[in-house]
Amino acid sequence: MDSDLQIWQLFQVGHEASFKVLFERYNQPLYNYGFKFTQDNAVIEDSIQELFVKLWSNKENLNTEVSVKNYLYKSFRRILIKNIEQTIKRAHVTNSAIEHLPFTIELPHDVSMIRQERVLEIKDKLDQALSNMTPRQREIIHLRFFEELTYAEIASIMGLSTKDTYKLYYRALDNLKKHFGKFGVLVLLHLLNQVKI
Amino acid sequence: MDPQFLKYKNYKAADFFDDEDFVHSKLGQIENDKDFWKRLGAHDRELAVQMDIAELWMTLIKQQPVTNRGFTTDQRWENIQHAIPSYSRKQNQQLLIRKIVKWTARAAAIIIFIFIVYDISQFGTKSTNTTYGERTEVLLPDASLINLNSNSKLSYVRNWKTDKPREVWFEGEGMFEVKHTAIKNRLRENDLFVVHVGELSLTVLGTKFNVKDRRGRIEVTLFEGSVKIYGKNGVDRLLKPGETFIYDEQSKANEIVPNTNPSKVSSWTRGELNIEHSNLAHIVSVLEDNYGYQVIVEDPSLLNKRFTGIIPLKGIDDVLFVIKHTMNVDIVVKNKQIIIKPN
Repeated sequence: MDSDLQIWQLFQVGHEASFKVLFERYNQPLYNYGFKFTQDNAVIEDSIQELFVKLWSNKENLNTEVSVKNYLYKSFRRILIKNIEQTIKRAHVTNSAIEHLPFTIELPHDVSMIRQERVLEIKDKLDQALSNMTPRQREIIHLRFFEELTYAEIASIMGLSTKDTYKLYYRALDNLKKHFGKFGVLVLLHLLNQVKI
Repeated sequence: MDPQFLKYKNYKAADFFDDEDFVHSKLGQIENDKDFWKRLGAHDRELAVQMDIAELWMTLIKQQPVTNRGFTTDQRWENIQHAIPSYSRKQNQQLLIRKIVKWTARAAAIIIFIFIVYDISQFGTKSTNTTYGERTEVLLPDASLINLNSNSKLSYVRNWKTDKPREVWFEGEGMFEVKHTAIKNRLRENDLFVVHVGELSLTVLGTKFNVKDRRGRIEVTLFEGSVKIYGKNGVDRLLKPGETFIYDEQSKANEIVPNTNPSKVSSWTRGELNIEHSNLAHIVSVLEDNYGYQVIVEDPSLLNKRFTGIIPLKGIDDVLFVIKHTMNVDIVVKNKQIIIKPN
């Protein structure tokens, strides 16, 4: 399979098949990412369409040396937030600041592969800790561990400085520490014997 | 014990969750010594538990259900194929509109600029000056014609209000032919034409007159129509055709004398110097006032010598020639100085 960058450069010179490959690789992950901001299906679909239509129409003006995934997520996020804000404005809700834009992390329901009840307990606590975080903190964690992006990439996608991204992340970790601080060693030992991931 | 283990002493799950090396190793982002974490766990059971929790968090987050409730990839691709041409069209239209707007704005800016410049030029006064030896004609907005002799100045406010008298300010010598604007039996203020000269105001309707303001002496000679003359210190005289009004700015004295030779007064407008019954003093004043020379007459008795005739006024050479040969004097011209001495 060709690398993203190779496909990207072919797409830029007007190679339609490469554009299609790029689209096929990223349209579903982008939908998934978008769904964490809003449950409004139409807004997400419109944003995906807008992103790829604009990409194709402006392909000559795009940078040739990019981190493709990074660029797509960043552009998609910008378009999506713009579109969400437009729908919010239409509904006359005043508070449309980006910090308050929701971001959901939905942990797996099906943990049968993990089997253990104690694991469920950890999952619940993680769930709690996540829900105590701000949406943007959740977004960082999602991009870090689900999309497996680096801090620099996350900062770029979210339009933050790397330093601010770190700060947000550290405060998120405080939440985790609080929820898991009281774990008894014995419980943990017990867990350890049984957890097999 | 591996000395690197020390770093992880007292580490909790959240600390591992935050540890770049640990996360990278578990994500497989970099080739990391996976064995290291096993050895660390074996060395310290508590750390093993914390590492397991951190790894479990990562796994849980990684295993989030993937949502795709929208279109299928193929449907989306189809939609995009449809949207691209219309988007390009819209983009081109916007580009065109932006271009048109840009150029319209530029054109508007230029037009507005021209208007502003024109407007500003209408403010204040417009002046016409003549230098020594120069004569010119000024046609005013009301079609009045003013002939300016040398070393004279005429100024007026550009935007003549329709309900106010026409006003000009004047210095030097000039022949005024004021356009008569009044309709029969209906005189309005704006039919008046006022010439401010020195301390006097000459109020006229339509008329022709010569104004000469030289050496503290104002002479108004009327050819046609009538002129009302007002002055600061109670001067209020009506001038009739063929009369000359004389005002002395120093003594404030004024008098009206009959003008026996109107063509002599207006001779300058024809480019002539009429020296009929004039003495040398008169010619000297013309040379000084109109040509800017300093004239030194070494024998003052010469000044009263009288002349007769008309000299063409192309320059001063003709004048000097006439003086030289009728008076039998010697004339030296040096820069802007003329010295007349007895031969």
